Amino acid sequence: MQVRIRKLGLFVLVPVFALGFFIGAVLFFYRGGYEPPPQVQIAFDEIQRNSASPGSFVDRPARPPRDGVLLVDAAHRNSFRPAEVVSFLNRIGPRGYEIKYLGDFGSGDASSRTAQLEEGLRGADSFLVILPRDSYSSQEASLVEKFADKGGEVLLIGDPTRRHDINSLAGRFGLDFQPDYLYNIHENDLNFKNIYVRDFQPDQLTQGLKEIVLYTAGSVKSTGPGLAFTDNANTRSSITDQIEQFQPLVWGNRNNVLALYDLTFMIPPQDSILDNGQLISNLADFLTTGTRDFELSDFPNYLDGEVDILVEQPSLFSLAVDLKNNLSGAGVGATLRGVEDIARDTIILGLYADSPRAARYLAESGIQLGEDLSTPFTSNIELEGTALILLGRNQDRDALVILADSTDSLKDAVKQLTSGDFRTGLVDDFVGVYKTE
Amino acid sequence: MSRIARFFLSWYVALPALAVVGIVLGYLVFFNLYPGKPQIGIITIPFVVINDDSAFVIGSYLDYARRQPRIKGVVLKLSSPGGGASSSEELYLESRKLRAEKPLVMVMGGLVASGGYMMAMGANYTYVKSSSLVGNVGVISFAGPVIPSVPPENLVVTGPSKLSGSTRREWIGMVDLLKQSFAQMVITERGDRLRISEEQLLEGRLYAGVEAVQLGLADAIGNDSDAVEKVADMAGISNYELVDINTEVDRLFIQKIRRIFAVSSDAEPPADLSGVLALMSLAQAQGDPAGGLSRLGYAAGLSGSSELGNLLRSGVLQQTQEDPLPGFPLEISRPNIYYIYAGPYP
Repeated sequence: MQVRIRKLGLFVLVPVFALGFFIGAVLFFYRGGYEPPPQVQIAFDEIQRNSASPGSFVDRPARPPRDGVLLVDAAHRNSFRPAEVVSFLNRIGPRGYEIKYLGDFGSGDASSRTAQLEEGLRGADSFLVILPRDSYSSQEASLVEKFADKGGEVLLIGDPTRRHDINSLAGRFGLDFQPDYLYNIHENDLNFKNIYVRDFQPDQLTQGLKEIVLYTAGSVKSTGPGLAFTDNANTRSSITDQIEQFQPLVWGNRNNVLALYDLTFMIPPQDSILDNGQLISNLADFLTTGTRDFELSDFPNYLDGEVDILVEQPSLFSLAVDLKNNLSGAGVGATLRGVEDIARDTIILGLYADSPRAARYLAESGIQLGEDLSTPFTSNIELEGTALILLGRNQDRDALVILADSTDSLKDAVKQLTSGDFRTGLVDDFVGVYKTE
Repeated sequence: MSRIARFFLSWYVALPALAVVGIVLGYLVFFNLYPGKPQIGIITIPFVVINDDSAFVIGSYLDYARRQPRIKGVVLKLSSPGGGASSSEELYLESRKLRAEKPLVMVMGGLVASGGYMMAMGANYTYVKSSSLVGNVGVISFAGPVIPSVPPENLVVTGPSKLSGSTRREWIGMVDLLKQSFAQMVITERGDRLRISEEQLLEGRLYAGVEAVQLGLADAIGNDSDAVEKVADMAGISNYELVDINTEVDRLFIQKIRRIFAVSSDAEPPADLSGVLALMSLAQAQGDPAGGLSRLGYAAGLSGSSELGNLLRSGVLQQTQEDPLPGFPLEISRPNIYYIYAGPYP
């Protein structure tokens, strides 16, 4: 019996062999276990918005309101909507200026666009060009250049994020909007393209500015001085690795042409971040404080809202009434007077033979009227069948003198003046001599 | 005791017989019960944009690998430009979950960018080819209009951001937060291995594999077999076998479908997909140990080995969501934030 039990005990070897196999297999297949790395915790609670705070800004015009016209280009399929610049344009009205749009944001044919621009600039005191998609033709650029030569303020605004061909005009003023955008990875307002600008050249335009944020600005190369500079440590241009101070706000080659390479900063709510509001006000001041010179060809835009018409002869009264009605149609009120008020803009109608009140203006312009007519540029013009139109400018007052050899000639001269045909007979910027019918 | 019994109980017969029995027993326990012959799961993600569907598929692979006890480690072969933000993050989190239980080694293909790279942050170890393109950390999003539109007169909304969700500026701020989160993931996960600054990282550059290794964005230059050896080493296994998880999940799906058709109808698959959808919903309602039949359906869609999978992949099923709110007059659009490399802008 004991032997049997002992022999049955052999079955204990089954689990031993099984265990042996198991251990052997484990050792064959497994050399150790996996120790997972400690599970790292992402510090989400330390992540914060790095945004610039709104500034507390109240718009205060630099000067008392003064009448004027700001012409806004909308004739070159410009890449902006008026609603985007409402914050800027809302500051023009309180400065006394009227805003007029040139075009309807569409694309017209080049010749009519040029004529439209020429007409628009005649009545403008300042000109705002934002993101023209259509190129400025050479003639158009010349018109704007001439406008700037006469002292009209020109503000050119580009934006790297939108299509534009502003360089077709900017080149005339020594400006070149670069095909880049500026960025700063280290310090920005919510996005690397939203850069801080803290370095300003002292100027009326940078008055009150300590810190602004531009939202996708580009750099402008200019022959004129810069006004705002990026920091040269961390702000980069997208097209160059060169480390330099880039200029998003810069003068052109004269001090009445300004280039700005960011539109977005003036779109709400960016317009109220830090000192952006101040910059927008400064730009509004820039566009409304200039003194552009008008020429004879700019008729009737140089005349104030109310002018006097003086007639040298009673027989010209009906002609004066016609002229008054014509001026009224152009938005200029006129009053017929017998006595000259040297504080008011005046139109003098008269005949060569007897125009004593015009004599002073003729003399000031170097015009001699005797047997014949001589100007500084022409001489010995026969009086018969001619008319003379002269613009005398004295500080803030304009006097327009219209003389002719006869009532009929004078009538024709007035007709040419009101129709605009007079511009073909200009002798210089202030004098025109015409053959009459 | 008979002579035959004595013979079988003699030492020289009983011992080998018992040894055989014991070994067979040990074999059965080891290979069928625990722990089994170790396996390394191979997941192959061909070039894929990570969206909700593909994330679902890839997630099902990771989920399967995590749940299968014999799979001791996973090699994930990935090539992706990234994709949707939440989908990419889902895969990162799923990878982390797998990593907590089993080693996960990733082999980066030609391009692992943005959201794809985020997913790689969930791996223990990453291999690249020297010619792989890696990185592109950052966010792409479409912000709202510059000038917010006014809600129409007949639409009642209860707050200025109710329709849009946020102002444009707030949206940009939110995207900035996501950018920082992404950077934090990379910085934290890579730890001391990372040798570029946060600013450099956030430039969003793509790096060639060779440079990615130098900068600590990836661990080593290597291929699939390197990854298998690495994962085996990390798991502490040898003499393992390789398992194609894509195929396994697909096979499982087909089995399930066959079983459902066998139970629910006369073994004839319905002709229209709405029937399939109903069956899948039924299966889901009954519980599915591998993570839901619909998930498997999507998985089959990615592997492309079954007809149904192709149908699922084509997105036909999603047509059932065409009009989720009958009569609701506004167009419903998904949030559009992406961790993706879209290629050079034309």
